[in-house]
Amino acid sequence: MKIAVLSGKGGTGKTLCAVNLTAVSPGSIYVDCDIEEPDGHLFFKPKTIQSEKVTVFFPKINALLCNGCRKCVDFCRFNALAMVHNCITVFPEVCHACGGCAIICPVLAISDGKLEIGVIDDGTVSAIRIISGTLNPGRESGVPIINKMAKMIENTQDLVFIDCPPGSSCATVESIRIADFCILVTEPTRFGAHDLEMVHELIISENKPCAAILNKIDSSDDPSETYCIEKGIPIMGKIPYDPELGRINSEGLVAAWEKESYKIQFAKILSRIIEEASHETVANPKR
Amino acid sequence: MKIALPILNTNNGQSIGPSFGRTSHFMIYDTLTKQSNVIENTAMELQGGAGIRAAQIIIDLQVNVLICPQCGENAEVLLKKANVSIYRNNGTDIFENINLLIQNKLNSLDDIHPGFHHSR
Repeated sequence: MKIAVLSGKGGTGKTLCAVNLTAVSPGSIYVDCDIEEPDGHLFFKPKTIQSEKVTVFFPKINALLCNGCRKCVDFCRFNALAMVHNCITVFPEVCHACGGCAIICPVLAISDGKLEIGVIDDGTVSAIRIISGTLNPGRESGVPIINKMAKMIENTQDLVFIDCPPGSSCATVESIRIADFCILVTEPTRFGAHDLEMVHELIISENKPCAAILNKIDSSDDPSETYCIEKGIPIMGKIPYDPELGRINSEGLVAAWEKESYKIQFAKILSRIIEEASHETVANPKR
Repeated sequence: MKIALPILNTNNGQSIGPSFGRTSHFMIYDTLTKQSNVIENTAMELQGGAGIRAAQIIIDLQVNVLICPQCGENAEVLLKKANVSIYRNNGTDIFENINLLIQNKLNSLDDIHPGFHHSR
């Protein structure tokens, strides 16, 4: 089973939940799809077994073959190509790596220059496999890295936790694509509830079953909880606002490995998730 | 010599506009024929790469000099390759600036900004 952990708003506790749910599931796989800021590895400190560079298509122009027809310049809707004095100039930051210019070139003057955009580290710690993607600074889209990580785990029978990027952008959509079940981590703020709604709408449009974990709960009203109740999102657990949990987490330690009470707390949440997700899978076998 | 200027249509006629890639029109002035010609900037509405496309339009018209208040990095790369000199306008009056250029009284635009490229 593959469980995606999302939040909409950043800082609600996605990584806290993803890391600790993984930590109480020996034999599971943790996949960090928060490629702009992957920090799950800071908690797990895995032993890296393999690092793989991720490249995307990048137009490499063979000036000897180019006949200056400009078809590639006219084709590129992102304007990543331009022509001066019959020479093609490529703007790497503007290129979206679609590869269309290479297809349209009538004289095969454009080939794949393979631009490196990031890296995927694959490692282990305490019988847990840690896969972590990192997008190079300055690159616009890390979707190819996420897709590659998804390929690595698509056929596994192991329990997988996917730590998703914040927001509801392309990267988040790609991160939940192979998920069987989505967990929404919320915080009791208006801002949190607003972004929860955005990401919940995304999950509905992707036709994925979901449930929520309410994080940082105190005595005040929780607009995120209200939203969950209104929309019928099952609540898998409530994590109270807890300075000690915050401290352990800020020191880069796995709370469930540091203190028995946290281990029990997350194990309880996990068993509810597994139960809920199994119901969903039985009810909707197509998923 | 062909001079290009990004222009803005205002209530008081035309003046030099604040943007290069996102300007609505360009004026092309030919110092040999003393003829001016206004063309539409088809790059204006583009989602991305407007500076690159606008530079391509200017280059294809075989312009020698561009007078504008600012220009992005990508456009500058292309304009340099095509040997288009870039000068900063003094005020926004079109023909005053053309005269200043001819008298060699305009400064070259050297503070090229890295662009206002939006994130996706």
